[in-house]
Amino acid sequence: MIRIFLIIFCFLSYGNFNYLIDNLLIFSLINIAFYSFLKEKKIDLFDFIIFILSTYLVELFLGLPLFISVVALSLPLLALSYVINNYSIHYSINSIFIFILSLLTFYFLYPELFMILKIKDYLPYFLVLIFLSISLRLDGKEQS
Amino acid sequence: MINNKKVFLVYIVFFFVFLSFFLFPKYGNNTKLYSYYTKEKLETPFIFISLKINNFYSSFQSNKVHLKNIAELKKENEYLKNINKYLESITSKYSEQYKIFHENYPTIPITIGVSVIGERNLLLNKNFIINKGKQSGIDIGNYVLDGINVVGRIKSVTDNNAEVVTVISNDYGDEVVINNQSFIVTGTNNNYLSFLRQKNAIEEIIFKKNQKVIIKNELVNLTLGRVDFIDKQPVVIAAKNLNLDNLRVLIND
Repeated sequence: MIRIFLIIFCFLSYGNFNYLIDNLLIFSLINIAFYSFLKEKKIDLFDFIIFILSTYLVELFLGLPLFISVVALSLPLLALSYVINNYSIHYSINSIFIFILSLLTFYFLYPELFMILKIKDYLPYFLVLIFLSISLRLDGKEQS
Repeated sequence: MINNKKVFLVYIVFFFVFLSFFLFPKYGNNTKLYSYYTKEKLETPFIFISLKINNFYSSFQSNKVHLKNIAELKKENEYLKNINKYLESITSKYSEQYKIFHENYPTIPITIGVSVIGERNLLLNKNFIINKGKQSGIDIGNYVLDGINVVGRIKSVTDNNAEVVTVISNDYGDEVVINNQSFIVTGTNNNYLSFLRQKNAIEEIIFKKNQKVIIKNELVNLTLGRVDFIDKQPVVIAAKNLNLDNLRVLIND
């Protein structure tokens, strides 16, 4: 439910603030997509729909072909999820992995952005990492 | 590997949706525009409330200054109205003469004011969406102006929204006139447009720096930018930061 709320928030607020916040919103959407897909080995329908919603918004805002990531990204992500979730890795390492994967995807989508951003501009991104690890920890507790 | 039947079914459905959007781009574009339409409608109450709060705060802050300005502007307005009346009375005889010679008044191009929905920085996406569409008379190919220069052209349109491809986008291309000679230019995703040409066709034409680049429209000539040189190659320099605050769409009626 929190993710749905976040997605709606990103959808409504994108374009109404400066470019730093817009970038952070896109990054958050990528993170939500990866988190939903990679948090469990067996992906359920709700997570998959959240993945579709968040990737749809990224495609919409960046002008990419619609639903390309659902079709092209799902299968490699499924394989990745299978690898990650088969080992009992600490949740913090998992969250760092998802964070780096999102950062790489973001870099792949718009490489010039990393020349524009200064080091202090990256600070809010670490908030995403903190929330990611908190949510992975809470999710783990819920399962156990 | 997919051990959930429902997920697999959803995947298959979206696979075919993607395929249909890929094969028929018009449907993909319309879906995008309808999504932006939903976004605009959903964010309207929030923008309304934030504007109200902002207005209240700013009016609270600068009420006195504004009252003083209003008094000054009222005086200026009255003075300008008087001048306008005087000028109207002077020019009325010329318009009568013009009417005699041309039988009708010159047609003024129709433009409508639009505003941007979504990203305005054009960092991640060189296209943008505007809040008016077919219902306001906008059609594919119409020019979008910032008051002085051409900002872009309408790429796709629905009843209430339209997508604009900016002059700096890779997807932009147009016929321009420089010194009464026609050329084709294309966007480069940078703040300049390059000339499309046949081999050795342009070498004979000598460009000068700062020559005006014009797009010939039915009713009015539009300015795209000015000629400049990058590595001795002629290019058309567009505005560094496109002004998306006061946009108008030129309707071809």
